[in-house]
Amino acid sequence: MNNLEDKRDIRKKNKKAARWTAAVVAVLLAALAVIAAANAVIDPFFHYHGPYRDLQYPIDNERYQNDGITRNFNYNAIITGSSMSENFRTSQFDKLFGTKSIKVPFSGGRYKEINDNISRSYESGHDPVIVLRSLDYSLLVLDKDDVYPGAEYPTYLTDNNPFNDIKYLLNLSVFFDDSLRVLSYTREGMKTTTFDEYQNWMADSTFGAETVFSTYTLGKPAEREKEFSDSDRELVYGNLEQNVISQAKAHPETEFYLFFPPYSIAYWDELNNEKKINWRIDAEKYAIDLLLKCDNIKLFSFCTRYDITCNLDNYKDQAHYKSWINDQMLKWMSNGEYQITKENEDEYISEIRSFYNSYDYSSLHGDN
Amino acid sequence: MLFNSYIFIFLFMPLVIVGFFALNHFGKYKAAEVYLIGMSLWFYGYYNPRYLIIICTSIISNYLLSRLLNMFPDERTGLRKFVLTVGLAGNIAAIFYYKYYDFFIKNINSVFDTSFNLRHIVLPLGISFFTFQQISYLVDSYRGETRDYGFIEYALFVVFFPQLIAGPIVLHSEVIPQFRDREKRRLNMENIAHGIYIFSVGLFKKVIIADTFGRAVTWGYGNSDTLSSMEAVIVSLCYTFQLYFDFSGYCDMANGLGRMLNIELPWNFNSPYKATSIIDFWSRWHLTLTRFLRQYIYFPLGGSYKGRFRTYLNIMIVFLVSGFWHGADWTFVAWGLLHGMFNCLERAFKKTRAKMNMIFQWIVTFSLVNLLWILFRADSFSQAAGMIKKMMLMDDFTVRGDLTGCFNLSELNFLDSHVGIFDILSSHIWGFNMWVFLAAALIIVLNFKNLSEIEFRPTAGRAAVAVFMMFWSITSLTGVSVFLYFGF
Repeated sequence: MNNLEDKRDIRKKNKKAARWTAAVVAVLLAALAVIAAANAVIDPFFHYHGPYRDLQYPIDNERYQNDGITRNFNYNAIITGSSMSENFRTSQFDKLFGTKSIKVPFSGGRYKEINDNISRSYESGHDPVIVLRSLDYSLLVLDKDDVYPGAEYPTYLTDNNPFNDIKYLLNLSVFFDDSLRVLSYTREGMKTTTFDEYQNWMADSTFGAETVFSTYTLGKPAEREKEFSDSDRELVYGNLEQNVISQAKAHPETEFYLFFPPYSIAYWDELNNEKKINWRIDAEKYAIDLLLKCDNIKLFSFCTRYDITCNLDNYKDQAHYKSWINDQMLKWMSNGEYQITKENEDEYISEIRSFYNSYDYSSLHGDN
Repeated sequence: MLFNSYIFIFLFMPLVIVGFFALNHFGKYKAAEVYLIGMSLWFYGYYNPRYLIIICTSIISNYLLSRLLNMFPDERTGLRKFVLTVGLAGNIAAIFYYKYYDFFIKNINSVFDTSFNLRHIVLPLGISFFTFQQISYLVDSYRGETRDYGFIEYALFVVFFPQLIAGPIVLHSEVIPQFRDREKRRLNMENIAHGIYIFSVGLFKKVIIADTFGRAVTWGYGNSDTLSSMEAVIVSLCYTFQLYFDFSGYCDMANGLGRMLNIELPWNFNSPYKATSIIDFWSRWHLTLTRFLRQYIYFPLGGSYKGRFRTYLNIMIVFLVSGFWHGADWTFVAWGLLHGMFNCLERAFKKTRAKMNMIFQWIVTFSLVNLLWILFRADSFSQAAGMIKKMMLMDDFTVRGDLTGCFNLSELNFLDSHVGIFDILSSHIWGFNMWVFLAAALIIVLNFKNLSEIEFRPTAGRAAVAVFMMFWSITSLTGVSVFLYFGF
């Protein structure tokens, strides 16, 4: 009898535990489903769809949103690159080039990251007529697979594996910081960030010589001139071939407007101190030779606008320039000005070589 | 694979439970064991399948050696000793190669001014755990305590996934009999419910508490040169809490998983920060390691039966091994030796200590443990010394937003800005979320019961706790990283 009661008791307890387990699992799954549904439907990173008309989206997170923008927005031109492209205005670009563009720059983005993002455009069925892209000198002689070491990349957004989307869907940070923000943004009557505004840092920055000089200190001057070695050449080749040229070759229907951004004289000052000016120009010369082999690449450089590069009022550090220079560069590029061609390449190289080698850098530090 | 991952929670765990009990249900007991072994190997090799070769080689060779030990009759002591020595040497050589090779070469290079190449060998997951487990098995085989174990049982004892990569270090005598018990092969919903509860608490301790402290610790040790005194104190406390919640959370999860499969694993922690002496601390912290060291090193060395001097020496040897076991660096050795030294001192001044006030003793113990963890975490002696110096100087009480910001979880920020009382508190108290975390951690470690002491009943309250903890933890497994922009 006791035995029977024991058994009954065990069965009862087991039943209760089973109900408890079922309830826990069910409520947990339901709660998780709510979060996942909210993140998927609002989709603050545009992973599944572009912005809904009834919702207003803050766009301010390049590494998390650019991939979605590239895949799910409607456009036929792309402005991309590093922070050198962040201050471009798509409205001006579209007027000049007759396009409907998106802007998807990556702060500190290496050539590979930018190229991979352009590939996502083609993969998602877009066929951009123009890609405008900055090519940073400072990132030219670099391993082709180098990545910006800032933080952990959300590769679950940029790969094609649907299973790891779970990291996006079941993500409380995304829910609170992004999905709910879309709702409050909409409620407060704000408007989806335009590409003119997106990542434009002009208003938040201080410019001028004093600021520029506070961002770098010259080390001990180098004793010997740095030479552009065979291994440097290999790096440039690998970097450009994999991350610029192959894309251009694969898409002859797209015109690639590439430009070397006009870094300031303070940048050259440091190169001068490190005896790297000619090394840098040799790298650029080699890059130009490679790039000009592609008919659909239009290459520009604005380093010869000494009125810009030598006036530190235009800069907030060695490289970052005011947004009027972005506006100006767009105009020049649309007019074909400062384009480097096979015909003027040698003249351009010898001009910058002569100017930046003979510049009186000590005059920069005269007052400091 | 880690317990705190989506694949484990959503795929591995359900598969393992359903598969195991289904096979047992149909009377396929051997197949169920093999299934568990297979799943455990998948778990182990998930990140790096190459390490499966290492663990399998280790299991097969240790099993063969133990069989050999069992084959020789007890009279053949010499031969048996030889086999045991070969076994011990083999295990130690393996762990030495994978864990200490570079450390050894670095020291050779610096002492003899040589330039032997480092190998940068990546440490196979859990090698320290499964090696110790197998050493204990070999020694017990030598002692004649393992006669009739089959290979599958043995393999399952080593690779059983809940304890495979971070312990507890189990003894064959406490799990193999459980594997054999047919009663334990039946699905037991009470154990499933209890296991889920323990697992959810462990997951919460790891993901929400430890990992949040971990962010502050990573920031603090990454910027140790610039820390203020106050920041150094806070970072040291954060590490003390991170380590405990991380490790004990992981062990809780192991325990919960074991329970779901009807296997009781030993508990590894007994509220260690409630300790009022260093000796007390070691009777509460990482219990299965302490047990191993006691049974397989301290006792064979003579324990406390060979006079005072030998007792102290034995204690120091045990802590030296413990230090080395924790990591291949002199900082770990120093950490171990200092713990050993305090152990000896406490023994020597037992009577004086007994007269002291308990609160005072707790404060001294907690502070010592906290200080010694700095050595444990620091990349070098100079970093540890710098941190400790800053803490002692107490000259700068600044706490920067970078540190407090580590605790600003999205959900807490949301609470801070949407709930009146939190809004007021967080706008008036600098680093409010950080202080909440520190206070909560202290309250938990000093006041909460151990999970092992809680009598679990499947009530609505427990269900709410389990769902809350699991939900918060699962949705926090991935964050959104901030890309700091330095130059280009």
